[in-house]
Amino acid sequence: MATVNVTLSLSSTDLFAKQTLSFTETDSLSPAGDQQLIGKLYLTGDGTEDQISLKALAGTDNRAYVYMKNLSTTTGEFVEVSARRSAWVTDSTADDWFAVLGPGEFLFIPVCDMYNIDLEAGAGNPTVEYILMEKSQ
Amino acid sequence: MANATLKATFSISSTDLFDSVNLSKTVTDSLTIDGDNRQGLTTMTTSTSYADINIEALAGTTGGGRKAYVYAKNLDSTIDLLFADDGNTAFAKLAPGEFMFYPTADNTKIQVKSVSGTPRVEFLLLEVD
Repeated sequence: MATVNVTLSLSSTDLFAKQTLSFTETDSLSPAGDQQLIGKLYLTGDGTEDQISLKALAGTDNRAYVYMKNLSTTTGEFVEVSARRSAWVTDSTADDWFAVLGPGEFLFIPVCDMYNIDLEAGAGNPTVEYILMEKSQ
Repeated sequence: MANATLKATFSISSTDLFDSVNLSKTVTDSLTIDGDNRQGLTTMTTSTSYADINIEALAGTTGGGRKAYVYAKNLDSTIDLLFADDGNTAFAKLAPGEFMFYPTADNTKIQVKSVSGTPRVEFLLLEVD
């Protein structure tokens, strides 16, 4: 079983007048699924959902750790992130996003209850880098 | 409300996820917070029924609409937490000690519940626009 170390730091001096925000979280993950991917995807464009996994997510609750970054630097080229929940390769979610990545933004989510993740450009053809680590077989 | 800046840094590394590729990367971003709902670090006891973590409906039109940056961590040592969007559909499950950070959009609320018992969740929610 592999070990993946992740660290998140968030800080701000001007969010609140009376409070400075600054903290760091770390975790040691043990992804043991049969699908571990690093990918880079040039999105097809507005109106088309591109999928990131090579086969349906599986294991208990179809869980996976997902890191993703929108590499675009162009204003307006955001990326809609949605779940594909029914049959593998069947798009049943009617463009129901749970996240969005603006240019340069990233996310890290332990996802569940989905077979795949769909990405759709709000405009243009942004490129997305991602790491998908299925949690269990 | 004056704009604020949130600095976010994420690092990921592994020497054994892949046999032939070592993973080691750090990304940073400087995020502008200009929404009217800024919820600082908060902890809350959950139950097996969904509860909103936002105190007012998410709004705005920037970057896909109803956008907010969300951090959450499961503070429990044994029980999982489920997160859902405004359609009551789960998209994330945090095992004990796990965290997430992401920009939500297209949803008026973020919900959390436990799979059992009353574990505590820690979260931060910063609305954009």
